[in-house]
Amino acid sequence: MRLLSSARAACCVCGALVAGLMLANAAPAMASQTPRITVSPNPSAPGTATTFDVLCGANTTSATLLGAAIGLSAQIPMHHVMVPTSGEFRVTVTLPVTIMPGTHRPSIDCSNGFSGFAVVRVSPIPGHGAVTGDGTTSTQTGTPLTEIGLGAIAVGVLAGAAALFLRPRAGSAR
Amino acid sequence: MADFGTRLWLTCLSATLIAGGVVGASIGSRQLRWGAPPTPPSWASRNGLHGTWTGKPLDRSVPEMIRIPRIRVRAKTVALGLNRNGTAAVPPLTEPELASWFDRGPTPGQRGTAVFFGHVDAKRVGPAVFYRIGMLRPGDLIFVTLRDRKVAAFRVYSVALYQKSAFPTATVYSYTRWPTLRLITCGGAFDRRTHHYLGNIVVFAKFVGAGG
Repeated sequence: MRLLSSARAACCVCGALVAGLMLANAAPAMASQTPRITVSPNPSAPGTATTFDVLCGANTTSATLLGAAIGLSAQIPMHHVMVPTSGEFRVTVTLPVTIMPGTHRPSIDCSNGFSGFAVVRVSPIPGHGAVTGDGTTSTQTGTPLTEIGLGAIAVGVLAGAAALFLRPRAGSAR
Repeated sequence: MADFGTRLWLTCLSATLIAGGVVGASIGSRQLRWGAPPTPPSWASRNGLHGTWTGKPLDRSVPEMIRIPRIRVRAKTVALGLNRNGTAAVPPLTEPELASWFDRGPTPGQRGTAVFFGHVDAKRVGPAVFYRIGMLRPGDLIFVTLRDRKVAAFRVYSVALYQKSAFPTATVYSYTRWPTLRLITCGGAFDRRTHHYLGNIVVFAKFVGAGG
């Protein structure tokens, strides 16, 4: 009985070792399957033309940007950069004006089976125009002509008072 | 003692002054004291951002002062972000001589769009810091002094009036590969019911170099 459990334990240890070795060998292979992706500008902004570049590797015939994560079409075909055999693809899209600020991760699929995530950082922008000013210059009336007019009225009243109260000279005609 | 002629002359003078004063005061009290903010003509709105820019952008440095010789503006700037409702924060109306720089975006001279806001008018002063930006025309210069003591120069390439209800957010705020600048204030018709201007005047300018 004890022999049986020792054998079982040995099997488990061996299995774990084999699995570990397999994973360790597989990791570089997985890493090489992730295409190199660049986004420009980054950070971008809502309403901004943004370019996605992907290097899928040789023997790739097409690449597709999955745009749902950034509020665009589900599948956006990318175009060859330079020669068709380079394995490099590019597409420029305009981010929706309604996209939320923050980090978005749309996926890019290559025809050779590789895929990866683009990291798009979106900066906030003001939602609308600005509210600046209180309308003072468009509503407040009263030019300097008002003060000049009031001054003329005051001088006129004084002149009238003077005309009334000045005593007529003796012997002058009335 | 005054003779008849003097009294007659004073009476006529008095009547003339009072009548003229009443007419003048009446007209003056009905006219706007400053006039509505200047609005740009439609021809000033055009896309002048042609060609590719091959210059070297500036390092990030916060703006401290903006100077616009054509309209005699020389104003300190403050860094502000967004209000909770997503609109741009602007200086308080009690400080109408200040302009604000939108601090979530690039600084002037960096690639992208650096945005400044300023009041068009305020009760305390009448015309405020950006009252005359509708008078700017393509070719006019704008200078921004940065914290690193550099002075970034920009040349206006478009001035436009947009209705707030159809504000072209992407056109105004989106990233540009060329370092660009936007000056934004209110303009157009004033709605006395809502106490808001119905439009925004936007000045578009591009980086032409730095000194200092």
